[in-house]
Amino acid sequence: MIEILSTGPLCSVQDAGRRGYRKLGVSVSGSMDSLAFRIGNVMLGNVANAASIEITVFPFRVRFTAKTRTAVTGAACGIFLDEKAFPPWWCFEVNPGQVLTLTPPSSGARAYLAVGGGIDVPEVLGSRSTDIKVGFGGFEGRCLRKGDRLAANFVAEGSAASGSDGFGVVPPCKGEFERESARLGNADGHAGTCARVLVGPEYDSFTGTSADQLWNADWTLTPDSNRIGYRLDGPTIDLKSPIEMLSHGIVPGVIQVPPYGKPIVMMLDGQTSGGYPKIGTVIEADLWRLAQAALGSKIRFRRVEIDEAVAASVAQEKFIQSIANSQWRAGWK
Amino acid sequence: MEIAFIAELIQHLQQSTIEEMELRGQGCALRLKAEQTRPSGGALPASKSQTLDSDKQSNKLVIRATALGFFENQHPSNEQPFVAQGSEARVGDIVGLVRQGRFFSVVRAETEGHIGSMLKQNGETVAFGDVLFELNARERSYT
Repeated sequence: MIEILSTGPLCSVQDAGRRGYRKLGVSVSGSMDSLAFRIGNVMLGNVANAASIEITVFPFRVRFTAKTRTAVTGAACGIFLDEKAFPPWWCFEVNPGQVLTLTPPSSGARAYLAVGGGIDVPEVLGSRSTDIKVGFGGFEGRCLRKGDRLAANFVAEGSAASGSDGFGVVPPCKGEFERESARLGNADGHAGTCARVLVGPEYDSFTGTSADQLWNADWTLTPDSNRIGYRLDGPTIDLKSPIEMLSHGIVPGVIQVPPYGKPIVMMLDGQTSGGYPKIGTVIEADLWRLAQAALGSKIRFRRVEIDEAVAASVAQEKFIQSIANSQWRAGWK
Repeated sequence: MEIAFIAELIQHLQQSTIEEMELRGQGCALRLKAEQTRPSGGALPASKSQTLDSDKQSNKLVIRATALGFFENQHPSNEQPFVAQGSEARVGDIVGLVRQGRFFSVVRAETEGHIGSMLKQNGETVAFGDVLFELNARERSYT
């Protein structure tokens, strides 16, 4: 069991998401930073879809009741096992009675706590993710509270080679992903998030100036952003002329522009249909970048074509597989 | 398996932090295990003792690399280095990382003191047992 000793209001159990039910109006849900979520499970040798805890409010404290291994990925939060500190993106052993504390991150917004075997909550529609908006899945269909006790499919302790200090991985925001980020628009010292965007079906319905502003402006992530959608502040985006649209299916990443002209990026808990014109769609491979954007931070979009979007997804998959296939993992299975 | 070969292995084992090793060949298996009196951990206790003896006059202690790889004095997610010259290191404090490919292992202080000389630059290649830092021990540790 894992006992929650301290948590903010928006920490929840998430897995890779609830897919295949959008036709019934069921949102995808799942881990906002799918890259951090997946790497956490890779570090532990878990199945790819093992449920983790998504932590958005810090400090977060849990007590373990059994020996296991755990991995903390995502935001660069402080990690303390009792008094012992670990760097971010780290996998290590925990013993019964030990308390894990995650303190506010120096960068990033969401941390993922994965445990060996995964968090054991009932599957609903094929997923253990919490649909916070509707209130089902995950742990009792809600965010975690102090005193909650989560079951986990704890696996036996790691091999002797693992040691108590464990190991870490280079965060994906560095290395080749950092160079990629520079290409996306961080080259001029922009410290915010850069995400690649495909133009949307109604892109040509916006004025030329407005369309240019989507690419040129530094958008601010407003405080009323959440797992449903990211509301951005910046220049007003105007339509050439008002258009009436029937509600239609939308996916995470779609950038809608409501009549007041400030874009909303739909995220994983977003509704499955909408009626606002769509100026673009953040590519799937860059949704994790948005997931780690802190409230108040700047976001920049760069236009890409579908070939680059597909290539980015392939590169991301290769990155995860390169960790999974590493020789190091052999000693950790 | 030649006796001389085994003797050489034991000699190497005594100079390392390896607790236990097993070697299997055709029709034979050899297991060597360090005596329990030797403390476990990443740094080289034997070398540390030697350092303690030889440097006792100057109160010098060292922190050594626990793996082969590239030394990193800060985590890529953080802008601040783990330690700086003159900063205090307590037992168990993280003082650096050793990167191998996409992976890190951690280097912790095994004794307390103040960081003196920093002998490896960020990104420099280090071998197992290389001295990374010299520590100036606290006076009270030796009085």
